[in-house]
Amino acid sequence: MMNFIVKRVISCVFTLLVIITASFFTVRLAPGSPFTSERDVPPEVIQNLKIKYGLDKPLPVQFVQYMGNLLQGDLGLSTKYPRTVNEIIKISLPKTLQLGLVAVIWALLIGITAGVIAAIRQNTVLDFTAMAIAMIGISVPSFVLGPLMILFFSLYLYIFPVGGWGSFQHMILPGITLGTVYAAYIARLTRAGMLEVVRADFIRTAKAKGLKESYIIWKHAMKGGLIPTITYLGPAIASMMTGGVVVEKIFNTPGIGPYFVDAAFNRDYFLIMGIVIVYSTFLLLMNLLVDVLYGVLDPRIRYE
Amino acid sequence: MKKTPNATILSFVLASTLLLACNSNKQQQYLGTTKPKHPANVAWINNSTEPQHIDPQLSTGVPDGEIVRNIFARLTQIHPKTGLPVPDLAERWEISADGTEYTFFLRKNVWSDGHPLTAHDLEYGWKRLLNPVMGAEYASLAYDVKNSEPYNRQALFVEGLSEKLPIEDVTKIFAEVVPVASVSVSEEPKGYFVYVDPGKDGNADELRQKAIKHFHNMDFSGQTLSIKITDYSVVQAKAIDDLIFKVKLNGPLPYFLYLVEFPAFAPTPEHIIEKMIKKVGLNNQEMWTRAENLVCSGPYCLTEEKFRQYKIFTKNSTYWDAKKVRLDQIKMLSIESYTTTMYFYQTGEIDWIGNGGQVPSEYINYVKHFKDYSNDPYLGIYYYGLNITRKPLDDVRVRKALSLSIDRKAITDLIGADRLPYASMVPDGLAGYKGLNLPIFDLEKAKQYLSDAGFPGGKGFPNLKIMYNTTELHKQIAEAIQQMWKKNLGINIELQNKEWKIYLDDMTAKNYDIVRRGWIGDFPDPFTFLDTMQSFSGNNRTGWKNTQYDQLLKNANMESDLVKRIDILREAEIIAMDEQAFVPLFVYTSPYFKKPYLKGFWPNIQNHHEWRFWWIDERFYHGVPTETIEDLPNMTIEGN
Repeated sequence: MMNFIVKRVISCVFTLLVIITASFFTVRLAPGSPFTSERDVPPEVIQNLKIKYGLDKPLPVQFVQYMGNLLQGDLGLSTKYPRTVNEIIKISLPKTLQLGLVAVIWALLIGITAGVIAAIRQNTVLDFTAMAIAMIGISVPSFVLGPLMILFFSLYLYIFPVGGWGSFQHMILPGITLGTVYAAYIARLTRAGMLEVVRADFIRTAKAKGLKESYIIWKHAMKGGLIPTITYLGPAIASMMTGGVVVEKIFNTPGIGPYFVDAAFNRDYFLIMGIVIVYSTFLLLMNLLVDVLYGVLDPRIRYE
Repeated sequence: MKKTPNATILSFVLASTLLLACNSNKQQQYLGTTKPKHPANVAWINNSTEPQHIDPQLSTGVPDGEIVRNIFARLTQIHPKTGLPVPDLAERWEISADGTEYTFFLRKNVWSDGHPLTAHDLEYGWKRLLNPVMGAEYASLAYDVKNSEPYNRQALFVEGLSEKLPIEDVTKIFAEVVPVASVSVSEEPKGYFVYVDPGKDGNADELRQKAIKHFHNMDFSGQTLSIKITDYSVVQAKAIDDLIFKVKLNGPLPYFLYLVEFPAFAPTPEHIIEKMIKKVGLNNQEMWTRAENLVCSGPYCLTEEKFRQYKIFTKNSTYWDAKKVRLDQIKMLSIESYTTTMYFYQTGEIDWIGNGGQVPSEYINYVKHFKDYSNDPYLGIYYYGLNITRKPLDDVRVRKALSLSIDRKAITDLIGADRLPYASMVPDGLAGYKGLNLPIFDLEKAKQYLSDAGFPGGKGFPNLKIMYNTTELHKQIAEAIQQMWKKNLGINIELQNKEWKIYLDDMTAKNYDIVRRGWIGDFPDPFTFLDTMQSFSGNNRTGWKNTQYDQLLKNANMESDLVKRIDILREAEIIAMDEQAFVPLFVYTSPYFKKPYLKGFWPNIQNHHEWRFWWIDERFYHGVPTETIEDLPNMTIEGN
């Protein structure tokens, strides 16, 4: 197992390097520059701005400089905000992670519970209801669900704030909005996985032995039944934890999500790169974790 | 404002949600709560986004200006009711007879840390504004100050050549060594400014060094030449002593006192900034604007901030008129989404949707009946630019046909917010200007023009494209005009929706046929609009050139008789509108929501509502009062 992990880590680092290199050159291919503005600015001033951010140098030189700074943990200066990219990510990412955590907890709680109930009560009202709600959850996009949640819980019932950040209450509505679509997918995947497992011989044996149903589900069925869900969880958690752009905009959450789009619009090269690195690292780590979890959950899976 | 993906669907859903909320309040007079959620010495507002810069010299957009205006005082301020410039940091001023020299006499001020604020800080701020290394986007606003443009654009300053030498000869002398873009004369100090031309890929700095190496100390007709890159020493904006600041202009600018009110002209604390540069370097000097480092000169100062969450501004007791400032604290949020802003407003989390915030067009008909809704005229024109370097737009008859066949009233009815349909560039009544009152729709004439141009009924007219940047409003207008031209002229027009930076790039490169434009005036004078159409203006972007027009604008800014000046500007606008490279559509308005308990607001064409005049009507804590209170600006007026 250790060999496997080491090999995967090396592969992740290599993948990250490829992503960084490709992104570095790709973002600079986009028309427009960080300094393009509606108001005419003299070319001499633009030139000085380019010098300030090191953008006057040839591209390969810029790349080498960037990689050198990156190795020292320096992600550069934002061209839009008077802050370093490190600072922006340091301020914004924790909020996105907190929001993502609420979304993950919501998605797992609701999704797994609904999926398990639907599986063990297959073809009953409970099953149909759970899957119908899951289908609605998948179909309703976050930019519909979010405003509806605000309308109902904030503007009518005054239970939660309309948005912003600062307390646990501020995380509830955006967390639920963000996590609901994933909860729906998790419910359906859990149901499918559990259905496969509950029909297995070893479950029949456990039942024949007279074990309680809840014990059988929890101790024997869940491990195998959750394999499809675990496969999905890697990218899903990465996606939730790196923030929903739309959700953060709707609820005015000061996370990293909006930068994903805004940095591209502003041609804020260094901020784009910083976010790409954060997202990629997260995604790679989550996929690695998922692969390791397979081995833990299913002893039949072994790694050389 | 930028929109997230799926903007159409998002807008519809968000609009519907808010409309549901609004319609349930149909019986109410106000949108949402009317009882303040905060104490009476505080206001909560939105600023539409995290500001890009609150360093006055680097500040650009409306969110930046909203903050800078209130934390950094300038020489003048604009009276909120009369709209006239009145003293602020300067307690009085003298203007020379020809209107080109201004001497400002500063009152004794201090920064918020107690350090004296002197005329040297003013000079320091103006130097930073024009310093090419700073990259200040608004440096060009100062170009009417003598010798400021050459400094900002790093022209070579040449001394030693005869004053009688024609500019063409000076150009020839230098062109033998380096490519020359232009040459201009310096009257004080005597000399010439030479601008090198690096072309598209050349290195301007190398060219300057080459010219200096070649010409410096050269003997020329018995004179030794001195060449250097222009520095601030030649710029005619100087501190004479601690309390006197003198400015010499290229011509008598009647709007100069409005101009110096602009945030970019604020003094900045040299003692703080230089210390910061030593600590963190030139590139990171903006750290001086962090709450823990900042010192201010205005009625408020930033004392606490959480990036992209909120900012707290506390009353600055060292401001010279602090005793008239009523609120102790302003809390500012950075909500970008229009609809989220409205949610916050409804629940009383903000008292004003902010200067950069606007009520979305699709809501207006549903919300304008609320008493806390306001819609003020705004200093901005929405227009289309026509690329006259492309056929058939090079034919003025085609341009006139396109303009006259647009039913501007139908456009403004469609988009709501009571915008004013308009067919010329300068709003009527601006600083005493009488608008041209051009027809906003004349279909018969339009058809005639098109027929005269060789396209009767639109036959043979090529498919042109309207280019606009991605927002719902621009799309709505473009679609309406596309249909109008099809129906009225029989021509087919395609729509091109482009992302902001690509739109800007293509517009600058003139890679378009017809482009959506807009211009918000920097100061309340017709020149701010007419300037955009000058042949050499980078804001023109249509290819239209007219030397007579340029000369008229130049003459206007040399004319000290205000009535004559307005006539000259009007004459210039007639030429521009006659040649129709610009197709104005309407004058902007500024629809906004403000809580009834937040007082100190008066209609303002730039939507500037200074915090120093605000106060909370405490009667609203106990219900909506039936009587109104007279609201007058609480300020000390002195001087001129």
